[in-house]
Amino acid sequence: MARYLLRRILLVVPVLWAVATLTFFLVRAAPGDPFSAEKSIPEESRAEIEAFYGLDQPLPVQYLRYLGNLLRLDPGYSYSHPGFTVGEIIRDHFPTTLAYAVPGFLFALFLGIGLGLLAALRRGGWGDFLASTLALAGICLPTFVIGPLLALLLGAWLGLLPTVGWSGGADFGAGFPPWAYAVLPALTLGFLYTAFVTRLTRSGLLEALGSDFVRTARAKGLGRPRILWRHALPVSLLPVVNFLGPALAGGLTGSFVIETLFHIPGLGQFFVDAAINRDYPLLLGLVVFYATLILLLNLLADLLQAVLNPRIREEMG
Amino acid sequence: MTERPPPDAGRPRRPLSPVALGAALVLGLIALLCAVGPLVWPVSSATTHLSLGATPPLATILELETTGDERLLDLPRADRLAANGNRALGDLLPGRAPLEPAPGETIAWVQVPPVLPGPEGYPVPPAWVRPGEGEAYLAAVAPHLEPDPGWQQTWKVGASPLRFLLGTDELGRDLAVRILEGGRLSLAVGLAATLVSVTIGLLYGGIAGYAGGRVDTLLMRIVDVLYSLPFLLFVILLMVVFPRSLLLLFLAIGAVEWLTTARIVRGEILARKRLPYVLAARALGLGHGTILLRHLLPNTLGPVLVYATLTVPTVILLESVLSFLGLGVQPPASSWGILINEGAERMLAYPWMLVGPSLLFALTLLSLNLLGDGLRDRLDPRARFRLRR
Repeated sequence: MARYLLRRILLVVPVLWAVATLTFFLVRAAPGDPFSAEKSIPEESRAEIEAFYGLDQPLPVQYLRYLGNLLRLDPGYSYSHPGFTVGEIIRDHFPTTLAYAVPGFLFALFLGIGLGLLAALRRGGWGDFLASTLALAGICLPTFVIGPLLALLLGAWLGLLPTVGWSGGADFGAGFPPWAYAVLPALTLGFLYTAFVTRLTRSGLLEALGSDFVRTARAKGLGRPRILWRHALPVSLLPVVNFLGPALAGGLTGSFVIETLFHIPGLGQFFVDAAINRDYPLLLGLVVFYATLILLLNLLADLLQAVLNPRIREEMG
Repeated sequence: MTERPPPDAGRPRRPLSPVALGAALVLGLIALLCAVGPLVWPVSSATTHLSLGATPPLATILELETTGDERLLDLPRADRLAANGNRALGDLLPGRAPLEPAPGETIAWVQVPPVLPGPEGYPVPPAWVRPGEGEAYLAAVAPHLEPDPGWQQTWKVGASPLRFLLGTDELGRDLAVRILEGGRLSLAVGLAATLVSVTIGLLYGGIAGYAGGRVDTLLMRIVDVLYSLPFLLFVILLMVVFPRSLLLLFLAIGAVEWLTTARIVRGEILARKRLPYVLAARALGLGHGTILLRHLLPNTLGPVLVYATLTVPTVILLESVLSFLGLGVQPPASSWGILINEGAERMLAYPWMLVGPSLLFALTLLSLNLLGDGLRDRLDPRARFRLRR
């Protein structure tokens, strides 16, 4: 187990290096530079700015410096947010993303597993109908469709929640507590995953309930609740855990969309803006940050899988 | 993904489920509408009615007859303006009773150009007056304004022959034809990018499966690593750093979506490469390339096509997300992502701009997915519970 863990962690390093290198040269291969789109500035100021950001150095030197900065966890100053380092931007704005993303994911997990359980246990009943309807809705109503629709319904027509914005920002719909601003984004993000988790839990549980080890458990005379909770459910959650990896990558997409949609000052919006503004340090820093995050969470998902499934645990040795 | 025996080995052909058939029908209809619709639609998507602005679906449109410019107004907005205008008029001219038109009575809309300051420096809002009373109204307002009579205008109101099925957007463009054109682009991107991804996946998976051994391990390990990467980041990077073009969009999306195809193809090739017909081809002296391209890959097309049907919605979704973020197709070209983005921004005032494109988009995704699921069930009933990635 420890060896497996070590190997997996060591694999993260070359992957991250590949990501960092690929991104660096991809961005640099592009025509244009960060200051060409702006109003023309005097030659001296331009040279000064380029010297400040190290853009006057030859490309290989810039590359090595960039790798060094990454190793020191400090990708440098952002161009488009002067005076802020990339580290500061991540520190200030990532919590905003987490503030709605974590509740959204948890909501999706709990509701999805609950609905999946209901659907599998009462197969063909209304719970099953609800689960399959939700799964279909999840497929055909992606984040940027369900988000505005929810905002229209809950925010504009029923007036329960603020339709856009984030607490601390300009307060259009005064009178809402700070947490209220996170509800719509969380619901929007969670919607798709609820559908997926429901579907996965349902099929996983149906398969587990029909398998040999459940029959054995029943033959041993175990009660239904114990079979369900101790034997069938953990194994049936494997596909759900398996799905967490792709789900996180998808959640990232979701966060870009949601932050654009609800005007939330989270990290996703910074990424999109950095890409549009060619803010190299911020862009590269965020790509590496996201890649690290996803790789580590994937690792966590794999470990969780080992905890749930004895067969995989043995394979890891 | 588990490897499985060749799916077509002696299994009885199952009919396509009615749901999948229905989905195929709906999909064909949408595709036909999007492909042909914009060509035969009476209104072009480039025709703007700036004075009209956003109109609800099927609203009655009034024409304000005037000297030069086109002036159009939809009835719901006219009602709103009348309400607002009356209130504002009361403020401006104390003692004037609010105008309440009798049903069917035509009234004229009098607009003081908003550039001219009113009594407190604010623009004077439009107001409603009865035909023939316009001159009197203006005469009453005039002393309260800057002395420049050049702006004074009155209009007569008549019904316009224009009528928009799904309403118009803020520039007064017909939303229906924009949605159809957007659909044409979204579907085209979906098909083209899927083609790119399937081609890459076929070759990559084919080589991995056919070569086997270390090459296979290496190639598939690369796929595993790529799976764990946030590929959307790279698509966004590609779209941003290079001059945006449709071709790049196809390539960028196609380059992301090939991973699963490669896995499926590899599995199929592994299951088939020891079959007698491959041995026979070897014995005939054919080269490896020929065997792979001419004999093995064509046989994997069944499952690949099924997966491709499921890739199309994913790709359409990806394109829409990019366009939604402002990184995909650029206006004035429209795609569903752009239309939904525009609608989402203006949903409070003009909900139909969001609802129309969203519904058609959702219907298309649903049909594509149902069709893909149906095809897959037919080819491989065991896959029914398997997760689609």
